[in-house]
Amino acid sequence: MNIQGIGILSGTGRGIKSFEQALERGPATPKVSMYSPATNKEIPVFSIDNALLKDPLVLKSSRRADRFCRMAVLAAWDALADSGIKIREEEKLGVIVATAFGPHKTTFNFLDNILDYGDAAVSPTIFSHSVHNAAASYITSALNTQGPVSTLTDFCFPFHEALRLAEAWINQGRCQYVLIGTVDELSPAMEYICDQKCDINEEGKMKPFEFSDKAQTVPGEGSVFFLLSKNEENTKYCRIKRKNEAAVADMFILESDGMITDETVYKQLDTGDANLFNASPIFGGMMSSTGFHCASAALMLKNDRIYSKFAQDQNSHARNSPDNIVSVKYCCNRNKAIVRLTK
Amino acid sequence: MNEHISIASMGCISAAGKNMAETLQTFKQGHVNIGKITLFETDLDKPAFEVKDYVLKRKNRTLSLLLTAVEEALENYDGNLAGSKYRIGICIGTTVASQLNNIKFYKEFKETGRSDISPVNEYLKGNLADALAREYKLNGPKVVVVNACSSGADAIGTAMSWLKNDQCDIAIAGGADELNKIPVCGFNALGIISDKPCAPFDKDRKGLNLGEGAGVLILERAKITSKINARPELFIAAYGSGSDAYHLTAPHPDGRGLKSAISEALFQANITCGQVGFINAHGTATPDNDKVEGKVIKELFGPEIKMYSSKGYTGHTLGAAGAIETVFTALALKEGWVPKSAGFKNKDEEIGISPLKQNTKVNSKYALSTSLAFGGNNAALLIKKEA
Amino acid sequence: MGEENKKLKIIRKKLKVLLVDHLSLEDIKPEDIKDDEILFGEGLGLDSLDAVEIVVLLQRNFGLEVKDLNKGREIFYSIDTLAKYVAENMDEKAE
Repeated sequence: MNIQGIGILSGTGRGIKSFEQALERGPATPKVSMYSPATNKEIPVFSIDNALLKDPLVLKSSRRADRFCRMAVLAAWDALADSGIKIREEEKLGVIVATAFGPHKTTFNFLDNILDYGDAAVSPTIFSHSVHNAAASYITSALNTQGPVSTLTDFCFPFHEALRLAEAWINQGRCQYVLIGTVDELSPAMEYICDQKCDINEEGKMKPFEFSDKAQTVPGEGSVFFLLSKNEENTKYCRIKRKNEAAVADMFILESDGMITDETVYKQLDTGDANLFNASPIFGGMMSSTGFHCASAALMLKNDRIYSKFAQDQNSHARNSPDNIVSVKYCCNRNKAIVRLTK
Repeated sequence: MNEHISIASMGCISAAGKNMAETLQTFKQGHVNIGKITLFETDLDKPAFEVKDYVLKRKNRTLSLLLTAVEEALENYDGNLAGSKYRIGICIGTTVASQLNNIKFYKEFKETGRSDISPVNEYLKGNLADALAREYKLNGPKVVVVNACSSGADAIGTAMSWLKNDQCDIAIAGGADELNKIPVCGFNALGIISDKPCAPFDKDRKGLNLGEGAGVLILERAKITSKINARPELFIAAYGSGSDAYHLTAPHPDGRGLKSAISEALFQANITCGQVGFINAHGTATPDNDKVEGKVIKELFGPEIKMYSSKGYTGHTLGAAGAIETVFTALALKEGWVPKSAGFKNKDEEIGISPLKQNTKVNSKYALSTSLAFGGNNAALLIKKEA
Repeated sequence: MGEENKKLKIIRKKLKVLLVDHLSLEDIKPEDIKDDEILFGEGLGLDSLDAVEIVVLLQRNFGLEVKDLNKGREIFYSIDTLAKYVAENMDEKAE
C-alpha cells in the first residue's frame, strides 16, 4: 500500500509539518503533570494541550466529542487533507481506528457519574462516548463517508492489526482508500498506572538505545492517521507493508520506548550494518506508538534524509539517506511485529 | 479472493442455553429466561437475561463465557488446534472486556491518589484474543473488534478478510460480553431499557433487555475443510458492512449504512434478495432500531420475508450479539426451522412488516443475519447451506 | 402571580446554565438562549441524545422523572415550557 497522506497530533503539536519541525529540532521537553492532588506526585508527560483540540471547522458537528474522539477526528481529517485527494463516492473510503486503551478517561468519567449520582442518574452522553468506536463514528460523520469502518483493540500491536485489515480490505476491493490510525490518551488514572507499571524517567529523558533491562519511559499520548491507497503510482510518501520477519534494511526503527521494561531484546539489531533510529523523545512512550514511528520513517523516505538527532549514530547525516526502513516492535513475551516502509 | 469460507464448527452460550442443543430446546418450547439482575448490586429494577447456574471457568466472566463457547465449538470440531500445521487466527468482538472500568480501583485512586493495581493487571490479561491465543498456544493474527453492538458480526467479517487474504487458514471468530453494571446504567440513562420482556418489532415495544453470552465459529478456507472434514455443509457466503455517518446513538432514518451492508453482502455472494430464505434481524426492540431495520428489510426483501429477532430469548448481548445470532442463523439453516420472534404480538403499521409468530419450517440455501450499532456501524452476514 | 413569575425566572435561568454546561453547547452563553427558542431540530439544534440528557438533568437537579418521552416532546419545546413543567411538578412535590 502507499501512504498518500499523514495526520498527526502529539505532545509537540498538530499536523505533519509540525511533526517534521519537531524531528528537525530534536528531543522535546515534556510537561509536568500532577496526577493526584492527594499525593502531589509529579511525573513528566508528553501530553496534548487542550487548545490544540479545538477546530470549529473540522469539529463543527462534534460538539459533544470527548478528548479521545477529538484527537482521532483531527488526525484523520488532517491525513485526508494532507493527501490532497478528493475521493469520489464510488471509490469508497474505509476507516480503521486502532487503540490500546480506548476512551478510558470517559469510562472513568462515567464511573464518577455512578459514584456521584447513583445508578439511575448517570449521563447517557458520557456513556455513549465510553464505547471504543465513538471516535470512528465521529470520523465518518466529519468526513461523511459510508464505506466500511472498524475499531480494533490490542495492547501490543494495534497499528499492525489495523494495517493487516487495511491490506485485506483493499485487496478484497472493499474500498479503494483506507484511513488507518491509532489513538490513545493520558488521564490522571492512566498516568498513575504508568507510574506503577513502568519506570518513569523523572528528568523527562528517553533513552532508546541503551537496551537496558530496566528501561525508563516518559508517557505520551496522541493520534496518527494515514491515508493508504493501493495505487502504485504517485505515492506522496512511501510504501508501507506489515511483515512477519525483518528483511534487510538500511535503517531499523527500534520502538524501544520503555513501555516494556526489558529492552535487551532490541540489542540484536545493533549490528552496525544498519542505522538505528527512534523519535520517541518527541511524542513519548505509548503502547500504540508504531504509527508515530512510521510517520518519522515516511518523512525520511519522502525528504531523502535522516533526522540525525534521533539516530543512534549522531553523525549519520554522513550516511546515505535510507531507501528501506524497518520499524520493529517487541512487546510482552518478546512477541515481535514489523512494518516495512520503502521508497 | 472468492474462496469459500466454511463454518467448520460452532458454539454458543446465552440465557437461552449453555450450548446449542439447550438453545434449540429453549426455542422449541418458547421459554423466555428473563429475571432480576443478580450478578451485581444496582438500584435499577430492570429485568435482564443472565446465564443462570453457570460455573465460571475464569474470574473474568466475559472470558469465561467465551471459553465455554470455544470449548463447545472444539468438541464438535474435526480438526485440532494444538500442534496444527495451519495458521490459526483469532478475532473476537466485545464491548465490556475492552474497558478499563473497575469501580473499586478507580474510587480508591480518586480518593487517595493510590490504588491496588491488581484490577489493572487483570484487565491487561483480559484481552479476549490474547487470552485465547495463550490458552490454545496459537500465534496467528489476533485482534479484538470493538464496534459496540456489531462487534461480534464484524469480528466474523474481519476473520473472513484474513482468510480470503491468505493471512491465516483457520480462524476462531466470535464475540462475548457479560452482563455488566456499566451498560445497564448507560442504556437505562438512554431510556431504552424495557421494564418487561422485550418485544422486538411490536407496535408497543418499550425498549431492550440486556443479556450476556458468547458465540463462536471456527472458520476455514474451504480447501482446508475438505482436507480435515470430508464435506463442509455450512458456509459464510459473504459479509458486508457500512457506516451511517450520521449520529453517535441514533440510526440513520433511512438506514443507509444497513442498506449498503446488506447490498455489499448480496453483491459479494452474487445473489439477489429473492434468494434469501430468512433473516435473523438485530431487532433490539428499541423504538428507533426496529423502525429503521424493519423498514429496510421490508423495502429490500418485501413484507413476506420470513424474519425474526432472537433478542426475545437472549436479550441484547452487545458485543456477543452478532456472533451468537450468526450461530443461530446457521443452526436454523441446518435444522430447517426458525424460532418465532419471542415477545411479538401486534404489527407496527409504521414498520409495515411482522416477524414470525410461530416456529416455522424453512428450506433455503441462504439466510441473513443483520447487526446495527452505536456509532452507525452496520453489518450483514450471509450464511449458506450446501445441499 | 408575582411570586410565581419570580420562581419561573429562577428556574429558566438555572435550566439555561444546565443546558450549556451539560450539552456541550460550544460558544453559547446561557443568556444567549431565548425563553421561547425552539430547543430541538431548528432553533438551538438539540437532538435525541440531548433529550435523554435533559431527562437526567431534570432528575438530578429537580428530582423530576420524565417517564414518557412522547409527552416530553411538548415539555421540551422551549425553555419556557420546560420551566413551566418543572415549576408545576415541583409544586406537587411540595404539597
